[in-house]
Amino acid sequence: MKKDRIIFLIVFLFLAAFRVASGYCQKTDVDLIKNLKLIESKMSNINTLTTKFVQIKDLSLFKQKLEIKGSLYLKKPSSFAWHIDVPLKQRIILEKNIVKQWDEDTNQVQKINLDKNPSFSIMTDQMKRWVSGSYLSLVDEYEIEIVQSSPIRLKFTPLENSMAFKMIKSIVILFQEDETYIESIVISETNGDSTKFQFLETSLNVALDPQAWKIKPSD
Amino acid sequence: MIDRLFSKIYLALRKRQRLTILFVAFIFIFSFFRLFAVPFNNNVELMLPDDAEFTRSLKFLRESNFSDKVVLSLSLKDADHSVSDLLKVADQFKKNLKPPLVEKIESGILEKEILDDINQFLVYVPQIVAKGDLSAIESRVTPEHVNEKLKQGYKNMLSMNSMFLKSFIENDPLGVKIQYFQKMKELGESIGYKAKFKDGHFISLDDRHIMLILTTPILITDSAGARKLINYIHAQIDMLPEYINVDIISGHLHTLSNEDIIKKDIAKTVFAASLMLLVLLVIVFRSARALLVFIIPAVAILISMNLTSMMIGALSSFIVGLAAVIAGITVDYGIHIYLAMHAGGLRKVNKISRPVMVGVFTTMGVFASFFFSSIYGYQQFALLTNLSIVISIFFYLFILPGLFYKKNENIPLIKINFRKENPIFHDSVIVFLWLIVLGCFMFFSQHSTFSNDVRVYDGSSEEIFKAEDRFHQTWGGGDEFAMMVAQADTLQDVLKLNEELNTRLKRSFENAKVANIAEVYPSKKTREKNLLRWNSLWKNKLEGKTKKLLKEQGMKFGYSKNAFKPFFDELYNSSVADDETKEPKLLDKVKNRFLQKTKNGFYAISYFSDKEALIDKAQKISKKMAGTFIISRKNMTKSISESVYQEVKKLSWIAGSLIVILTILLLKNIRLTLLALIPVVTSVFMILGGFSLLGYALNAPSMVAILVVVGLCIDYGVFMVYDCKFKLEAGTLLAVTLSAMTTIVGGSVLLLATHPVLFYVGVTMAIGIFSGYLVAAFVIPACYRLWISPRG
Repeated sequence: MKKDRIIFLIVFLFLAAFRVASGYCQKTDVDLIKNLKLIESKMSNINTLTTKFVQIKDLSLFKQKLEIKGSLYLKKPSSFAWHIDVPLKQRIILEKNIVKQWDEDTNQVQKINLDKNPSFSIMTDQMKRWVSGSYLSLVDEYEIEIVQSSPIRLKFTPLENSMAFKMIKSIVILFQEDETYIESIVISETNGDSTKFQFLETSLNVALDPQAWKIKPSD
Repeated sequence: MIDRLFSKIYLALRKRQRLTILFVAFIFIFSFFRLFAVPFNNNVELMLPDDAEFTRSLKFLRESNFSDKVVLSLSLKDADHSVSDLLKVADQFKKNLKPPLVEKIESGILEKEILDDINQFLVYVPQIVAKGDLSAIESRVTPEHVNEKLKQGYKNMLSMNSMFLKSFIENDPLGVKIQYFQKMKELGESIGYKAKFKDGHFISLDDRHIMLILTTPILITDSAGARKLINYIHAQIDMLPEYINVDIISGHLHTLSNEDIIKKDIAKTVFAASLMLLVLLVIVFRSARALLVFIIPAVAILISMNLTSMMIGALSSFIVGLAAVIAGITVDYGIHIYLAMHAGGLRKVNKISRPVMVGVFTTMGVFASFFFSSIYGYQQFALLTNLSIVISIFFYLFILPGLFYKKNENIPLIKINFRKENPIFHDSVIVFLWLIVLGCFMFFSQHSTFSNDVRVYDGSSEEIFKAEDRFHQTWGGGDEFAMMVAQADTLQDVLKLNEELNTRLKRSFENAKVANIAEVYPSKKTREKNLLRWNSLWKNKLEGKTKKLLKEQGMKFGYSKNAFKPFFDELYNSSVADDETKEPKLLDKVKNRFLQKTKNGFYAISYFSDKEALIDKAQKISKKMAGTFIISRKNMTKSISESVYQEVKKLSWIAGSLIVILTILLLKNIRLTLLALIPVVTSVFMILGGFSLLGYALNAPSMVAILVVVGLCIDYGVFMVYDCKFKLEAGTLLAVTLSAMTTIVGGSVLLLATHPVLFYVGVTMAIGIFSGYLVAAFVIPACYRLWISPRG
């Protein structure tokens, strides 16, 4: 009888714990989705974006960290421009499925069809999602965690079945104080390398300089 | 003499009528039950010319794994759903498709594994660097080149996709290995399909389609298995959400569609023939026993099938089907004999037996010409048809009259007579009109063409072709490729042969593309040699120099001391694997397409554009290289058509000559022979000219149908000539009219057929028999009266 009671107690405690845990998970998931929706809804109002950035790459390949400075332009739905000013002038302009790439060293424009270049396609697709706030679409590929609520800091850890799993350890996104846009993105790789993007002088929904879409600055 | 012989045999059998009937009944019952033991062969090769090259091509296609694939293209029907929805559906769908009907599903490459796969491949590369390439690598180990490569690496590290590119810089700083990965990529793209990868799936460029490639153990020729497989796939498709559409691309569908269409067409023909029989029984013969006239050919074919299989073994089902139809021609003799019975009993049968036998011999002569064919199926056809005719005529002449003898019903029959007093039927007018029409059609016949396209034999439904068009629009791959195949008993032998083939093809084709696996997967011996050379060169010459240059030039861009350690760590790590499973996984993606293992050995396949100039060059190489051969759809089509055309042409000459010789021998009169040949000549020119006027090209089925028409028309000619000369008064014109009517109706029904082969046979029969009958009924009597017996 005593033994039965103990078994009953264990089963009861197990069920209770399971119930609490599942309730907690549900609550967390609901909160997370709510927050991601909120971010997405705020950022969905952004039709154009221009921001300067500083990118610091800490790569084992180089003795010192690489510091890259430039500007980023985004025009919804599918135009994206990535200008690097330092250390070497480079421009990448993405329109629909075609990427144009230029650098001052060669002064040549290279056209890449994203359909034929999967690695470039994946990176531009990911980058567009990070900077445009489309985080809900990432729930199938990442475990998402709200690390800090004000200002919001999100941590994305790739799920085992995702493409990024073998390369990325985590991605942390920190929003600005007023939560209108991202302040920084930190990508930590599984091999120990890391990259930090710091966004500065961000302007939302402003008319973009037509020069931003020119692949050669001199054009 | 024939008349006397007929009487003798008939009387002898009549004396033992019960015994004869019992014997026939026994033979029939025995044949019926033995039919279940007759072996059948569905192999289409029996119907193709006995050409060594062609047989080898077919054997290759049968043994290789090209024909056991079913490709599915899943697409989104509406804009409300995205590629993510499609991916989820495809994953579930894949889980539902299970053995035994679906053995394997190829859905794409997992992106998360691709980097590991590439790195594994880069380690393998030293095994495939040929002697010449190694010299090129050596020449590139210079300060300038190293500086250039490191600068490029540095710029790549500034770009957005640096995360992917870093591994290449670390593992291959001089870019000596990556070019081989590029070759792998080119091999993968060589067939011209356009696809990208997402979550382990082939995705179309518009993000609206997913492709799945199923491997099945069901052969394309196995129609029962194909039906099971396609029904199984359809059942799984039915469970998919409504917003998903699935196109099935498979040879199995063609098999089933052709079978279904032919079945429907045969049902139509049988219905029309039965209707015709009913009309004849009710209106003309007015006797249920006349049914025997139509049953006899069926009994004859049953017995002859047994006899043929006893003599030569397995029967081709195509041939049995065709011969059964042709044997139906013998019903014409039955009609003549039946009507002669009614016109004057045995006396008239005796009289008609002579032209019947002339008709039988000439018709048998036409079909006997098939004995001279190099196509085994045609020889079988000749034997089966002639046996059926002999058995039928035996029954018609010696059994049928006996059955009617006791109860001669003397039922009045319809009489037809085209009166010559009618100005429309005036002899000169008839002959003049005939000559004008014949002249016109002879003129048009000069413009008739022969189609080389064997696709005329494929009567698959429009929906199948539409689905294939949609597939090619989405995925590409519509370009036609020829294959050059190297064949050997072992994998290593075939790889060695393939290396030599690749060298020769590259040299001969100059700038034209050829996809061959030899450049990334040569034989084990070659890989061992390559690896020895690689290790020796790097150990003795390049390693130290490269390390020094990388250090010197790397400093300019800030590369770390150990930046290229992975490259040097893997420099000598490559080893030739004994076990195929230890080879790079990336190779598996292309091996499947370029190497085939069969029960008889191995094939290595090279692909190139199916153009005549390249085929000619490849043929020259093939002649010099034993164990190689070419598979080209265009070439195959051309050679099949050419062989079949030559075959039919040869048979036509033989059949034509036999008809003329037999008719002269049997009629023993040149002028009568010429008259009897009028329907034959006319019908041939009417068919040729008619095809030209209708804009159709002649093809092998229509050519064979012409021979059948010739066989029938000579009968009409012989009967009408006999009727004119001997005044048979045995209902000959009515018999010819009824015979022609039944055949024309049968042929015309084929005009409604969906299957192109049956359709062309229908057009040929309708034009040929109609014109042959008209000239037999009108022109022969007119000519006879004008030329042979002006005073009547």
